[in-house]
Amino acid sequence: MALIELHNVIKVYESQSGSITAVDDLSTSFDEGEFTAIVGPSGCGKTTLLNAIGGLDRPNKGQIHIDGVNIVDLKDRDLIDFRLQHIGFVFQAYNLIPVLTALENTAFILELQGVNKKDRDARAMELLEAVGLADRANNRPNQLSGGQQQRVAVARALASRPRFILADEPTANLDSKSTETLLDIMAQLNDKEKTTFIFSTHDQRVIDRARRIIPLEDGKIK
Amino acid sequence: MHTIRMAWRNIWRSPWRSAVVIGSMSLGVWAGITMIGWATGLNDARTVSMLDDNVGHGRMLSADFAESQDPRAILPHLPAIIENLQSDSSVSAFAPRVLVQAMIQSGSGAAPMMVLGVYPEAEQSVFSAARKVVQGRFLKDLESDEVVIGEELAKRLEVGIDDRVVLTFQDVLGEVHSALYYVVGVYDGASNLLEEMMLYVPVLNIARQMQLVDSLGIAENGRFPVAHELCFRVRDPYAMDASLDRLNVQDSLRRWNVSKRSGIESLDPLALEESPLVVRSWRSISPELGYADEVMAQSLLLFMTIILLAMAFGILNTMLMAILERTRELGMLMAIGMNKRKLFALIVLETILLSFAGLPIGLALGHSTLAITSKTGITLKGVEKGMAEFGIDSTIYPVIVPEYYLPIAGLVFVLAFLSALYPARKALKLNPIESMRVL
Repeated sequence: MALIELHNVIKVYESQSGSITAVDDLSTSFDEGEFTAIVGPSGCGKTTLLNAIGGLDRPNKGQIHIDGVNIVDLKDRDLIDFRLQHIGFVFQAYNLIPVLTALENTAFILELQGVNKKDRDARAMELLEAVGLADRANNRPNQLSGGQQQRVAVARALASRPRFILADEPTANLDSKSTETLLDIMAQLNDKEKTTFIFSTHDQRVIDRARRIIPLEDGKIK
Repeated sequence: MHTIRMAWRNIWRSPWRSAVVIGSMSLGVWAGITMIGWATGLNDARTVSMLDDNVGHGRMLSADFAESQDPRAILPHLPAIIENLQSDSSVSAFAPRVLVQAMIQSGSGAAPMMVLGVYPEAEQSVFSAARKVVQGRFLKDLESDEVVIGEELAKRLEVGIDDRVVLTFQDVLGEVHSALYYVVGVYDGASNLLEEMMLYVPVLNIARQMQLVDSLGIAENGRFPVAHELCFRVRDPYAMDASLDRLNVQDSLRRWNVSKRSGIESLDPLALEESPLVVRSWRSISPELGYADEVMAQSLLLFMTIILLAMAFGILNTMLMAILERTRELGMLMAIGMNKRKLFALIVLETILLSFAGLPIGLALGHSTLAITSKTGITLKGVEKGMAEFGIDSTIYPVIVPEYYLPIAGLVFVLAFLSALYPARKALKLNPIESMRVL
C-alpha cells in the first residue's frame, strides 16, 4: 500500500471574480522513500496540493489517505495532532521561531510531542550535525543566513521522524550554493534514513535532483 | 519549558513597547500600594488617636451594667480584678470609672453630658484626653467638687477656670440630684464631638452624690473602692520608634481579640463566677472604628482593582498588537502541530508574564516609599483644624501594608488572565494557511 493516496481531490476557491479550481479531480499516490517534485508554473496548484496532503487545507471533494487514514474526515483537533505526529513541513520563508535558537527550533516539535528535554536535545543536536550546523546550535535565526535557516527548518521537520516531509518551494529564497547544500542534505537523508520528501518547486536545480516528477497544470497532472 | 521561554522572549521582541507596559504596571502598583499605605496610616492614626484619647484598648464591666446601664450595677470583685490585673504582664495600665448621664448648666447654657467619675492618676495613665489639659489642671483628688471639661464645651457654655457649673443627674435611688462644681481644667480631646460630650469629676465625689457608696454599703478603704467600668491598655511588645509605636499598638490590637475570652489570663477565674464580667475590646466598644477598618480595606482593594483594570486594557491592546504582528508565525505554529490548547497557553502565559514583570518593581517601589514615609511622616499643611475634628494629627505616618501584596498579585494575575482572553481568542481563530500568507 502506498504511503499517501489521493482520490479525485478537488479544491475550489471562491473569489469575487468567480470560482478558481486549484486542484481538479486529481488522483495519485506516493510511496515510502520517494524524493518527488511537484512542478509547474505559478498558480498551477502546487502549493494547494501540498497543503491538502499536509492537512492544512481541506479539499472540497475527494479523499486523501495517509497510512490508511483518510485525513479529510479528521476533525480539526485530530488533524493538528496528525500533522504533529506524521508530517514534517519545510516552508519557502523558513518560518523559524525567531526567539528560539537553532537547537530550540529543531527540538520544538519534540517538545510539542512531549519528549523529555534530554532526548529532544540529543535528537536536535544529531540533526543539526546532519545539516552541518552543529556549531550554530545556539544562534537565533537572525544570526543565520537564509540557507542556514532553511537547513534548520529541514532539521526541525525531521526531528520527530515524520512519515514524510512536505517542502513548499524550499529553495525559492536561496542562492545557488545554499540550494546545492540543502539538496545534498535532503538527498542524503532520503538515501540513508529513507525519509520521504515531496517538494513543490519550479526550481530546475530541484527538479534535476528529484527521482520522480509530477508535472501540474491547471490543477491536473499533465 | 519552551513555552515559558518562548513567552518570556516574545515579550522582549518589542522591548520599548513591553518596557512601557511594564513601567505603567509598576507605576500603577506603586501608586496603589502607596495610596493603600497612606489611607491605612490615616485610618490607623485616627483609630490610635481615638483609642489613646478616650476609648482605651479594652473595658471590663458587669454584665448587668453592659445590658441596662443601671447605675447600681457596679463592677463586681473590683479589688480582685485589680489585684489580678496588676500582676498581669499583658496589661500596661488600667483606670476604673464611675459613669453617669447628666445635664450640665452654666449661666450661658446647658448640655447633655456623660460624666466620668475618675481616679485621676489612673485615668491619666490610660487616656491622653486626661493628660491634654490646655487650661488649668487635671483633677487632683477623689473627693473635691472639681470638674474638667472639654474645650468645645467650655466655649459652648462660655465658662473658664474657676467658673461654676451645675450637674443634674439621677442618683441610684431614682432621685434627681443637682450638684455644684468648679471648673479647674479644660482638656483638648481628639475630637470636638467628644470634648462636648465628656467631662471628668473625682470618682468618690460623684459616687457619693449618686448615693452609690452609701446605698450599696461599699467600704471606702482601699485605693479603688467603686467603678462601673474598668478601662485598660495592653502592653506594646514591639516598641521600636515613635512612629512605629503607634502602628504596632494598632497591629497588636488587631491581633488581640478579647470579645469573650479576654486573653488576659488573670480574668479567667473571675469570669466563671456568678456575676459574670463582660470584657470588651475596642472594636466592641467603638464598632465604628472596626467598621472603618473593614470598609477601608474593601475600598482600597476596589481602588486597586480600578487602577489595575485600566492597566489591563493597556495590556490587552499590547497583546492584540503582538498577535497582529505575529500572525504568520502563529499560523506556522498551528501548521506544524501546535494545538489550540498550547497556543492559548502561550498567549495567556505571555500576557501574565508581561503583567507580572511590573509587579515586583511596583511592589518594591511602593514598599520603599512607605518604609521611608512611615518614618518621616507626611505633614498636611492647612488642614490641621479639619483633621482635628476627626481626631487626626496633621502629620500622617503611612503604614507598610504587606498584607495587601498577595491580594494585589492575585488581582494582577486575574486581570492579566482576563485581558489575555480576547487576544488568545483572536489567535485561535487564525487559519494556518491564510496566516502564513501574511507578509
